[in-house]
Amino acid sequence: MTQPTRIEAARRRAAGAKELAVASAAAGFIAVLLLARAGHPGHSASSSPSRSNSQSTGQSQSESSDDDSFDFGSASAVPSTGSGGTQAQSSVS
Amino acid sequence: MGVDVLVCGATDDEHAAVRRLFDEHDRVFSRLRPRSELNRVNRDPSEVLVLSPLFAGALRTGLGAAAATDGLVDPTLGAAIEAAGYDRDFALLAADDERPVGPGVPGRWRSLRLSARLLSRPPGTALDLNGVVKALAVDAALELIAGDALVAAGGDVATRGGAVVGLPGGGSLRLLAGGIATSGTTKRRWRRGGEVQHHLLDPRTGRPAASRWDEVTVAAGSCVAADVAAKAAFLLSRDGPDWLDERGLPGRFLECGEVVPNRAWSKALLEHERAAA
Repeated sequence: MTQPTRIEAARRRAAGAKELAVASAAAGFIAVLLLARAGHPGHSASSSPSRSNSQSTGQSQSESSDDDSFDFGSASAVPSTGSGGTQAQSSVS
Repeated sequence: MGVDVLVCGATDDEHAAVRRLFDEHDRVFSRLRPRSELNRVNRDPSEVLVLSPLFAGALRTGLGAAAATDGLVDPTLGAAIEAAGYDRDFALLAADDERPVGPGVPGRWRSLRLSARLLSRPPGTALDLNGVVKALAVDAALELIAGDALVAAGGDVATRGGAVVGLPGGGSLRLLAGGIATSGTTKRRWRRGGEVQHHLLDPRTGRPAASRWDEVTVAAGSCVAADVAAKAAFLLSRDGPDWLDERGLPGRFLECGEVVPNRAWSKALLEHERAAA
């Protein structure tokens, strides 16, 4: 049996490297596909977002924040003494 | 926004800034302006799109309100309100529209994803942020005023420094800080297909809400918080008073003209009144 030439050996190494690169690319593509599918709202394993039910600001919130919490806070109110006239009316609009 | 805005305590410059703020909110969030950002977003077939900072902020508040109320306040009822027939200025709605009511379109806020200004939503999801926008504008307007002030728009009130606020069914309170809002079905009613319709929808059914209450008034740390809580308490019907009490929120319910306060309202206002007497 004749020994492979140095050129044939180099060709085999190149072919092996090519197969490895193709396999890696395919695996990467599948991984990205699965991540994208899992992240899509319609395909997410859990359609319930991880928003806290705890309280929040209730104030106008910055668009740069991803914090969706909502705070009811508390008003400071006392009975009207009747010494002043009504300044505003709360009503259904 | 189709409502009267009352501003007290503002300088001329602050007053002008408040006017610009309400005008901007109307341009961005109006369902009735074809070129509003709301309508552009709802027409856009893309599943992912970039929102303006103002729109993204309001939607974030709407999603926070949905989470805090387990979906009783939902920013995805755009199709439902149109199905109920409210598809033009209220003054132009026929009092008795003979066309049949469209199908109920339940809310789907959980299907939205908002990351900074990037919105991802299923195709066909129509937003309507009017459940929070007016009250948000009231809170934002108050922030534009440096000193003690009062801002009221269409029955939603916010104050800093104190104001006497009239209540549905009579009576008043002195609101020192925070907001007060009333929700109910006594206004903006019409008939379609032989059924009474109104603007307050139940996201669980996508249809006009049914409740034992005519109106619910809530005081909270801000106007938008009061508005969201009032809507939720109204929709919860008989469970509304306890739901507010669990959150320490004073609520005042109107049922056929009778005033029904929750425990927090009685403690904060009625007992105070008795002690003063």
